[in-house]
Amino acid sequence: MAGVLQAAKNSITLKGSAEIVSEFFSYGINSILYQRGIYPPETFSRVQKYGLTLLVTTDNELKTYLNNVLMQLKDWLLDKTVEKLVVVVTSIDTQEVLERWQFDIECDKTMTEDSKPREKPLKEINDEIKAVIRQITASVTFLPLLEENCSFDLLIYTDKDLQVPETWEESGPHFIAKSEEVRLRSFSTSIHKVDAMVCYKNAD
Amino acid sequence: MNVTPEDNTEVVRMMGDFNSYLAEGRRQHSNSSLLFDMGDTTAGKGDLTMKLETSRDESTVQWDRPETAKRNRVRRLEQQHALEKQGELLWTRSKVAKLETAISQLETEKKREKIEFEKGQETFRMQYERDLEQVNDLRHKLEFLEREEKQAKEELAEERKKLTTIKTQSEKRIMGLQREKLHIQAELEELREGSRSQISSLRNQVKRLEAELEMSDSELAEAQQQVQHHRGQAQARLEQVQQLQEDRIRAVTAEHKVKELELQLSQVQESAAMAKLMKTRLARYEQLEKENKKLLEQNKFYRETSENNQLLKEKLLSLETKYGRAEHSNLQLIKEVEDLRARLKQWEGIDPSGGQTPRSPAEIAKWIAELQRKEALLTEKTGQLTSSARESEAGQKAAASRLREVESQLFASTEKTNQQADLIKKLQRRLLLVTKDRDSIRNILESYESEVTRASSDDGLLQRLQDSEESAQRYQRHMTSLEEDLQRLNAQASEERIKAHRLESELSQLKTQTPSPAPNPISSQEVTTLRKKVEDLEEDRQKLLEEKEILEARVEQRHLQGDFDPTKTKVVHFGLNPTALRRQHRQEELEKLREECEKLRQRLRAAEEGVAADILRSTNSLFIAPDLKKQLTTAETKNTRLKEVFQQKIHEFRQACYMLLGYKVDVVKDNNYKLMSMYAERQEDCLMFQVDVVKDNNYKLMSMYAERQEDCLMFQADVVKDNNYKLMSMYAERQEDCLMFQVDVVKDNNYKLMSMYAERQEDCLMFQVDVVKDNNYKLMSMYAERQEDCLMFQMVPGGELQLLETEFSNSQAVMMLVDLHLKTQHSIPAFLSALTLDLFSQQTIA
Repeated sequence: MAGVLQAAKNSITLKGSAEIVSEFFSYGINSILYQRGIYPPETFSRVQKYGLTLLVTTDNELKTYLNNVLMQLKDWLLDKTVEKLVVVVTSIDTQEVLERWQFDIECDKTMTEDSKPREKPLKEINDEIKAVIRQITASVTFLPLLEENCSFDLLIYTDKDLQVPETWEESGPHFIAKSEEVRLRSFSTSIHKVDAMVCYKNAD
Repeated sequence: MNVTPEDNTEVVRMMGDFNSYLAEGRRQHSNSSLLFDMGDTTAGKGDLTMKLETSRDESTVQWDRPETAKRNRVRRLEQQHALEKQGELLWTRSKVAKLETAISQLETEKKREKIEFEKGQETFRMQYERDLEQVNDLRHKLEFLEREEKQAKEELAEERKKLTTIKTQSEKRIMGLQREKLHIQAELEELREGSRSQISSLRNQVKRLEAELEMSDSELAEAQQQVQHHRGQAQARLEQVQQLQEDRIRAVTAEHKVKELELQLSQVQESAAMAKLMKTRLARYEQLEKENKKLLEQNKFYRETSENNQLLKEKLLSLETKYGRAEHSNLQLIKEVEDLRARLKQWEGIDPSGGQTPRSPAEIAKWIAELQRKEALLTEKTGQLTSSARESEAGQKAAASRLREVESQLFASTEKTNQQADLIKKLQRRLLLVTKDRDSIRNILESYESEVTRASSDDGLLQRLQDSEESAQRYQRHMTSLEEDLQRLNAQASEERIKAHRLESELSQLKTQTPSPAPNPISSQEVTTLRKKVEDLEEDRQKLLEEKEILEARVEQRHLQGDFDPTKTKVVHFGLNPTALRRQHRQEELEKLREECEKLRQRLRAAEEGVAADILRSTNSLFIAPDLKKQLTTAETKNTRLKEVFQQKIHEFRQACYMLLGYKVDVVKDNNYKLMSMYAERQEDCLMFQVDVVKDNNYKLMSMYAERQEDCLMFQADVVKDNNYKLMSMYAERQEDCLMFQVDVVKDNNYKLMSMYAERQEDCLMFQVDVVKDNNYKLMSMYAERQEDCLMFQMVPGGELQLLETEFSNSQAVMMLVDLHLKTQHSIPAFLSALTLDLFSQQTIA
């Protein structure tokens, strides 16, 4: 964890920042999957992170999928080509999109792997991430109950000219026709800034 | 030993040898015993040698022989001895070796013991030292204890002394106390004596007092009597007092009443006086009324007059104002007249022809026309002038602008000139300074030269003084020049100021000139249009801003919804994402279900079309477990069997009922029952009953032969109990006149039908038909005397019923009926009805 080691000295490189952001996504996506009941709660185990008790899946299939996606995401974060990461929750029966958890990623394009590291205490970043994850957890209170059997997909918005591996396909944006949007908190590593928001299908 | 003792001499010698040997042996023995003492460790071996020696002693005893053998024996003995010696030698050698080893062992032991001993010594020494220390300690302790003992002894001595002193003191005290005791005892005795005398005196007193008490008792009794007497009196007095109090209360009430009455009286008097007054007033009242009427009339009259008066006054006022106005107008008119006259004179004076009075208005009109023409010309001129004025204004504006430019240029140039002048001055000053410096330096140089040339110091000093004076004068001159410069500059500044003033005034003039021609009609219009335009533009701007905000909000929303620019970005996702997988899974499941559905449909079609059972089975086998199939088949077979049995039994039962009761009941249609008597002459002679569900549980039985609709039997079917059906006619006279049917399931497939006909519930007639066995029917009347009194019928294969013998059927009364109805008439119904009637008559008679 070179990034974390760097961050311990309150200075962050591009690599470290990508590491932190992808780690956040790992925990954030797990939290969403648990909170929204997309996977059964018994398949999650408790983990201490960011000063919170978070739930992480034990489903091997899901774990490998998340690892694949997050590894690729980390590469693209280093390339600074990621614009958004979206967790799309769809109903299996009707194939209707019910929720969209969107994470806008703003990247400082001037940063390169060799450039001078930025100064920001890790504790501050972790506190910001903690606030975002807390909000994700708290959003269950206003989001409508997912009554149908649901599944999820991870969309990544990247540069048009980017060459993607064969395992990756182009996809639609999976919009919600009548949606309500709620902006959540954001966090920044001083290199990557992540804005979180959720839009969900209007119940009316 | 092969030798036997024969010679006595031999014995003697032998004895001698033996003794000598014994002596030797003893010596040896003692030696060996010594050896034994030496080697404790080889004790076992020593024992062995002992045995050897003893055995040898014996052998020697046996070797004593006669003379011939003596020599041999001696030789042998010698040899023996030699051998023995050799053996002994060997033995001793071995012993020596053993002993040597023992010695070496002993030496090692000795060494060990020495070491142990040394160790022991050391430990003893240590112990000794320790003991010594302990002894020292103990000595110290002893000394300490001795000291303590001494101290204790001293203390003891002191204590003893103290004790003796205390003893003496206490003895003294005891003595004193004893003395006191004696003293007190004496006092006590005195006091006792005193008390005794007192007691006696007190006793005397008591006796006296007792006597007095008796006296007082008697007095008390008297007094009590008196008191009782007084009490009686007091009670009488109390009663009197109560009476008095009552009287007093009465008196008080009476007084109150008197006072009230007095008050009433005074009120009455007052009222009487008031009445009198009122009477007089009333007398006056009439007069007053009359006066009042008069006054009212007068009042009315006055009012009217006052109103008239006011009206008149108003009229007067209005007239006065009118008069004032008229006068005013009159004055105005006079003025106008005068004015008009003056005007007329003027007009007369203005006459264009000059001096002559106007002759006719036509001329004036002409004149006016001319004047109008002139006016038009003038207006044209004014128009031209205004245009020229505008041109001049424009020119003026241009001029003003030019003037401003010129002024600015002028200002700039003046600034430049000033700067240059300053520069020049600065340069001049510098020049001056430089020249002065040069002069001073020159002077200094000259002075130095003079110093060098002339040795005289006074001249040099004088020279220096002169030089300095000169330089001072030069400075003064420079000062004056500077002052002049300053003055000049001041003058320049004042000039500039004046110029500035002039320019300002010019500017103000221009300003005053410029706004005066501003209010042009065209320009104002332009201004208004421009203003409007500006306002419109402002509105547009605001609208556009709002639109912009809305659009921004929309853009934000779109952004939140996940919109993106497809020209720059693309959306990608991992191919094997959970949604896709699930969807695929679902698709597969759906396919499976569809296939299954299709198969089931085929099976259904096959079942409908009745295609060969093997297809059905094949399809069946796909979905239904074999055990279920078995169950189904068994259930089906059971069902069919049950159906068959039921049908058969019902047929039999119906047949039996028909044979027994004489009526055949058929269901023609729904709710239509046909009753045909056994004894009907023709097939058509039957009764038709219709059961209509009139109301809940109300069934109407209507005969087809009924003449009228009304002539029908109405039965109300009530479920009296479980399986007990009560049919009651609508026309029944009493509640109890009803038909009772009971359907009992006695056993599996055995049905018991019970019909009841009764005038009353208690004495209803009943046939109980029981299926006892297959084809065996038991009929029992309610009027039967005993439970056993029943008739048994058996249905033979031909369909006929035969009466079986029972106890009851063999009775005489029944046998008679059997003879009559069965044997002669061959009618079971007749027999049964006859039996019923018989039993009934028996029961009722009984």
